[in-house]
Amino acid sequence: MTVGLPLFLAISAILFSIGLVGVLLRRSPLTILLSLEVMLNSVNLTLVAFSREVGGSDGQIFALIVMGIAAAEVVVGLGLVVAMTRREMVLDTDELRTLNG
Amino acid sequence: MDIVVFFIASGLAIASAVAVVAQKNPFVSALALLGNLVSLAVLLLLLSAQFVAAAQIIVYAGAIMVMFLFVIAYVGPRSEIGAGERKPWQVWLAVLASALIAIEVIVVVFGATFGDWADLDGDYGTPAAIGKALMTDYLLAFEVVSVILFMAAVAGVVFGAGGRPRRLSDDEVQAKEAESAEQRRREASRAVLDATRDSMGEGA
Amino acid sequence: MTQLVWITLALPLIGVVLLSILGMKLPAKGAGWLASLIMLAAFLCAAVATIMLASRPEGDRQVVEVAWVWLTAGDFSVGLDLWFDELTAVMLLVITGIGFLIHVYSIGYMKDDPQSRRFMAYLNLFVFSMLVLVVSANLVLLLVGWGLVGLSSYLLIGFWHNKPKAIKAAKKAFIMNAIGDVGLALGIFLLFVDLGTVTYSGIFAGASELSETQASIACLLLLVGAVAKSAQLPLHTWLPDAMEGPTPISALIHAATMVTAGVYLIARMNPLFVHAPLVLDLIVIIGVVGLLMSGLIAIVQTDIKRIIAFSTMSQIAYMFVGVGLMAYWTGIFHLFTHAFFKALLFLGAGLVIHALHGEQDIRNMGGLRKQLPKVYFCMMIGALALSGIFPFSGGFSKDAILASGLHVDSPIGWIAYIGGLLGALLTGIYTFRLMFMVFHRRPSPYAEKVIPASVAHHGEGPSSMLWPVYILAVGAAVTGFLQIPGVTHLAFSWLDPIAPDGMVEATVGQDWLTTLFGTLIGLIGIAIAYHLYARESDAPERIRLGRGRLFQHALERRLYWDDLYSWAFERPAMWASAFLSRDIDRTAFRWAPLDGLGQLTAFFGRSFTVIENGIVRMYALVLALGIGALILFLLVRGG
Repeated sequence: MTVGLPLFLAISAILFSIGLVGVLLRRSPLTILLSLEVMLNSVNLTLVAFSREVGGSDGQIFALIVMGIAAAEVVVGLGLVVAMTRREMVLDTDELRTLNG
Repeated sequence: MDIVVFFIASGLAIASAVAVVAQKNPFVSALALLGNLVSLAVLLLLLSAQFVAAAQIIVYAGAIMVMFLFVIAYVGPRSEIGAGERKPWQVWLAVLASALIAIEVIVVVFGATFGDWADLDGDYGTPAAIGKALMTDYLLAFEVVSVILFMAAVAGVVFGAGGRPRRLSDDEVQAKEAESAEQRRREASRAVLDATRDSMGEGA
Repeated sequence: MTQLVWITLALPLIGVVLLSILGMKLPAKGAGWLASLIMLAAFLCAAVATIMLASRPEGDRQVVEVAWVWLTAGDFSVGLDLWFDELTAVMLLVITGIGFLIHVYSIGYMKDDPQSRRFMAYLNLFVFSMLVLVVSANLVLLLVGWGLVGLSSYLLIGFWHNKPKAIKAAKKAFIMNAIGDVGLALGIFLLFVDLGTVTYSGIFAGASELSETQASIACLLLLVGAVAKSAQLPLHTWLPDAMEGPTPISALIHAATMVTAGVYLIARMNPLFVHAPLVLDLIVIIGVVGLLMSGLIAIVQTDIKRIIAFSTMSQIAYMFVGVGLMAYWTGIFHLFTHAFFKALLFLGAGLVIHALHGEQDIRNMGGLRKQLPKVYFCMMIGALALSGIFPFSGGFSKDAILASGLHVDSPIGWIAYIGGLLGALLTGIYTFRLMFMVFHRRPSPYAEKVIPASVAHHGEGPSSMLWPVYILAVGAAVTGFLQIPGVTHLAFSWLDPIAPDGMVEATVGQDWLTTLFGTLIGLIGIAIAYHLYARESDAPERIRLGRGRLFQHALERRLYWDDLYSWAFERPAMWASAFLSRDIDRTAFRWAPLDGLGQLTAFFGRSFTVIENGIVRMYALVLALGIGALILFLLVRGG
């Protein structure tokens, strides 16, 4: 076991920022959702890594719960995409700006 | 050995993550995410989290990604959106913000001192250990998540099925009715015409 | 026993909740009966609790129970405390008993009103508030009840919310009561500062340690509250206007219960008031001036309900005199009998108004004796009781008050005695002016036109309205027998323990002498009223009172109290706000340099709309930048 905890955390941070770039720059709701998954998974990695360092199962449980919530989020997000498609709306988040100030 | 696996897996993870973000076609993005998940599962295995790694593949790759692919297929080509008129400063700011966060975290992580890896019990990360924890200490969280999932499922159905296909607008309906009325009138007059022609023919 | 009191307290609250939740699902009559049955249950609980209290040995009839403490801050703690003793029992019986009768009456009175369910819910709310007020064992909870009572009174006076006058009257009552609430609250603060407690037992125990100044200031502040709630001078102006509300409200709130809360407060806090003799004298003077003034004003009023309202004010002034003379039991005894005969008069007036299709001006009545014989008979009992004629209840209780004045035998006592007897004369005049104008005389054209059809249509009134009146008439006739001088002694001996420092009680001789005077003077008043009003055949435009034009005008303007308040408070406020709006705001703040402030704000507002562009990505970007900056800050700071 020569791989240290900092390496895992660094990988996790890099994955997180890549996902963040996707969320910030892409306009298709589907791609945004996929990028969000990347972010959530990177955080899962952090949780499990810390859990491993401490030697308890708390972090793993947390990661599992994050997965469950991520699944819920995806369901709602995809439901919205389907609804938008059925109403023949443009699938572009920048066009959805009814709330603009 | 570990370190080789680690670097291969993390390289794949980063590459696939970039692909997820950069690909124009969401279908390809989704497949790249699949690769990302698998390489992350390898990293999790390196951390002795066997159950989480398995759940990662089964739940994410098996269930969530399938749903993604279905929706992408349903939406079809309209899901492809190009870069559009995106302003350069937006790109720079977004990359700056993300890079800032990543660099800061890396600086912190390598600057901090962590203890060594803990010595593990024999059943660390096994389904038995995780299941026990879920059913005892974390039962409430577990149940809450199940309720949230259920609600999300209901919401997904409502969103997906609630919106009806577009109806004809009033003008279109009127136009159609006018058209069919016109047609009926024409048919009626033609029938009359035929009948008179027949009778005239008989008379002649 | 205490459980029963808790149930009594809870029942009306349950009624409010039920009526609010069920609302329109209930038939209108069902809502009325539901509310009334709840009141009946509450009354029975209160009655049983009182009997259980009475079965205890004397001296052991004071029960304090703390349900829980709901507010603690340092030394200050307030609990949901219950205080059940003889005084509470009397108040409980009056509130729930009279309350029940008036609930039943309201079923008939409000039956054509589409919103009668709301009315019933408000009525229950009022009863609940009043019960909170009387069962509380600390001043804070009393203040809660005090405020709730003000609120429900506001709601009920303004019940007909599309009637501008009613809304105005409701606001007036609420504001006047708010002044009293402030006084009461300040008094409570002061007592807490001085004694470190707000519970009755703590205050009573510590009262003797207060200096006379401390006690006087505290009592004065409590008196402000009592005066406002009981419509005494100088905060009385809301009561006559409150008659814009439905008549059952006038009977319940503005005659039998709420306005007597001030008397209750003084009687309850008597161990404290004992240490402030000057304030007690002030109470007597307020009472005497008030009873004379309101008696005089009542003589010239033309609205049947307002006459009774002023008479209420005058009768409560008698109660003030009683408690001010340290004869607390007489005040409460008069409160008890007054609740019967005044509710009776109001409900009777309600029947008259009902029969006349809402007409309230007594000049448009007359000769109703023949068409409404039962109402006439009952109201006559009420009028005799009010005038203090010998065998009726009001006579015993009022004479007990005056006899205490005689017994005290100080200048204040004599003022009370003479003033009270003069007041009895006025009472006889205005009460029988009302009776003669309404029931005798030749009928006015309006009454002649309306009454026969109305009587033919529904008799003297629905039975749900008549029966409460009968019961009250019996009560008005007999409740005085609780305390026949030299014969029965129940009122005094029952209430005696509430005053640890003793109470004033006149001798039997003084009592009978006062009764003799009181009855004689009352009869003289009746004779004057007969002479002035009964024989007058035509409806006079103005009801004469001697020849003094100015005096007459002054009385019709209710001695200018309303005008005084208008000049003293309303107009300056209007003038000041007009000045601020016109001269300060429109000129000063429109100057160019000052307007820059507005421009600057608008500029910032416009600048920030760029960020608020509705694109979620941009919001996320700002969020990410913020997180980056935050971590950077922590890193640089070396956290």
